Amino acid sequence: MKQEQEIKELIEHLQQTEGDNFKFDEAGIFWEVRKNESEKASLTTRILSIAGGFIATLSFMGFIFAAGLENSEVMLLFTGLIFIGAAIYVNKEFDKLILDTSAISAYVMGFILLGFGMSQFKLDWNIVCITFIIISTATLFITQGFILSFISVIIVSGSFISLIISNKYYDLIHLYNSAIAILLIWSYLNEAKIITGSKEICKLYNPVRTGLIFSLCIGLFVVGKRDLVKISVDYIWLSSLIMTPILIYLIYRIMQIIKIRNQKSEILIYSLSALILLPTAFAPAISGALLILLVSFFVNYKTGIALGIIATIYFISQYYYDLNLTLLVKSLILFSTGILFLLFYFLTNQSKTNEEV
Amino acid sequence: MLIFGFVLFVTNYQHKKRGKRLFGIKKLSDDLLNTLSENQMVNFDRTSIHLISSYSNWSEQGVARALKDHVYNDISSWKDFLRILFVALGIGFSTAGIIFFFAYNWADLHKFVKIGIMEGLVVITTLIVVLTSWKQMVKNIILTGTTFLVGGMIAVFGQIYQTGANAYDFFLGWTMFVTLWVIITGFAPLWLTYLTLINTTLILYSQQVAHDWSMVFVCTLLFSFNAIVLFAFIWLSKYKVLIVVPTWFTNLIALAAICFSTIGVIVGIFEKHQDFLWLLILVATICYIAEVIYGLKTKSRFYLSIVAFSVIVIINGVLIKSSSKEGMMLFVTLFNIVSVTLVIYQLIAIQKKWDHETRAGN
Repeated sequence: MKQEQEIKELIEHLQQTEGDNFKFDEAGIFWEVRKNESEKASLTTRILSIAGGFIATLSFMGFIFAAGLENSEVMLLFTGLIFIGAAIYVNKEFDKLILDTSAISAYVMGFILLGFGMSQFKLDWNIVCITFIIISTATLFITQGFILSFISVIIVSGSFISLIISNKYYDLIHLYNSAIAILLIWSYLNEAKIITGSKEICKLYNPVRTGLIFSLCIGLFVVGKRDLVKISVDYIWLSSLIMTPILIYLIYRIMQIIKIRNQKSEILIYSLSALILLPTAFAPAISGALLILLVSFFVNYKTGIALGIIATIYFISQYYYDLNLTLLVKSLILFSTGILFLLFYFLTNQSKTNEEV
Repeated sequence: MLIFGFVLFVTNYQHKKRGKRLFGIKKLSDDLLNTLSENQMVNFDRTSIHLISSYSNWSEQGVARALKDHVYNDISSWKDFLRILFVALGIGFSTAGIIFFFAYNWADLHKFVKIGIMEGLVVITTLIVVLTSWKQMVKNIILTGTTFLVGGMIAVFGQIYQTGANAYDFFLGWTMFVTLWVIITGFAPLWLTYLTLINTTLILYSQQVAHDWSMVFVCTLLFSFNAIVLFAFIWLSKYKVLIVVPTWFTNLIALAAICFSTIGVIVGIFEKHQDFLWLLILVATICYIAEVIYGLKTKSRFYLSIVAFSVIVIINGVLIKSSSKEGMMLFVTLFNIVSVTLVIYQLIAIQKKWDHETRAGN
């Protein structure tokens, strides 16, 4: 975040470029700048808050079991709701970095208590999941603080996956992955459109974007890790029906950026891309991971890039590990894919040399 | 392999980006440049764009243009990214393919041919690195691939002479044979591979040979080793200025070291007859103090955070060991929330102080 003076210069610049129509709330902007200045939020402190919330939740679970409270349903329900309410209130009213650990702990503990309480009432698991989805979605409308919104998105997607698994409609995971992929690509490529909406939507943009990436990774893990759930192998390509066209579209957008206008090069790139993407039709986790990597680099979102790299490496390794082929066939596939990538490398280097000449 | 290529790319890319920002030459569209007065080069970042946009009627087109010109990656970043992506994936997949091929253990292939092919590949790739005038980065990635081929070569040897694939001496041999390359290239990803190999060798040795080594002793050994490597790199780069070491690399070693010390102390707390626990506590305390001093000196919140979190986890262990009744568990929960909150509060205060000093210095 820039300092007051720099923000002033940016606004002055905008007044020049945007003309007389440009109106802004000076007090609001500088209130936020001062607030950010006093908080100095960084990735380190955010991760520390989450890690702190995590160990606090773990010890709280220990407390519940040690005290034998897991059977007192009314108390669990009641306390759960109070915890969630308190977390939302603290986040909404104060939205301070130093209160994040308390808010995360209370929020997650609240859901755990609520879940325990509802299952003690012998309520159907579907009702528990739907309640979780409703409460988390409502949280997004009430408070737009980073941490709580991020966790809410994860709880919503986690509940959807839980619904799919508990009802044994395993193949619906493809629908989940496709929906998240579409949401992800739409929100990434329409950043300007979304953040020029309301102030609340703008505040929600970052946590939801991060949440969506994690949600997609979870969905891809369910598809990519063999025997985790019983997905029918015959329909494994369903996720790719959406992933592959999105990737092709991204390749088209990348070609626009790197200014490839030569028809011959375009055809060559599309053909080689198709050659690489075709086998991933049966490994949608790999194409999904590539999608995360490319789209995050597209908008220069570093957390996404890091997650994309980790996901790509993991899903490729997992895929080849699980593949029911002899090591010889695997080696041939791997080696030829490697050669194909090296061909890509020499092609791009070649075009660079041509440009320089 | 792939991780290393990517990590390297991100590091290079960030430096490049910072440089661009520093000199304010991040590309601006022509029409925008015309509207700027002579010395008024603006520089938006994503946070500022989001902030101004949420408190103004800034048009969607204007925001899109600002994001495209100042935040999103441009043509040169994309070209760098794609080149490293392709070469890392290319070398990574090819090396994996070769290793899988030998793992197949083709019976028709004579053992001399098997080892011969592997050795031939190692020789050819090394010669490529030595004799060509290719970019240093590409050469480094190839050499990292060759390092994995050496592992494959030793595995083939193990396959023929039935030494076992997870024997500690397999990793020891691998480590020894690549030492020279690691030192000569000074390539951080290759160093990371090397350190992983040494750690793996130590762990396997403790499991396969030194059965009398306790878990706490192994953790003490691994912690001490990684801490020494960390301090050596910091000393050589920051104080002697002999080498340039990327921050992610030192951070990763620090994180690995602190994981070993935390696990070791926790195991020591819960298990009886841990002779080396006090030694580990002593070594860890000295290193933690050194890390905190270094963190304060170099204004790094990372070191302060990991040390604080490790101490909190260890205190958790001590408390739970003393009693695991409900009252204690509730106390531990509150302790975690309060202690992490206090640490964050202190970190914010320290950061403010650093900012103040920087501004006063300017």
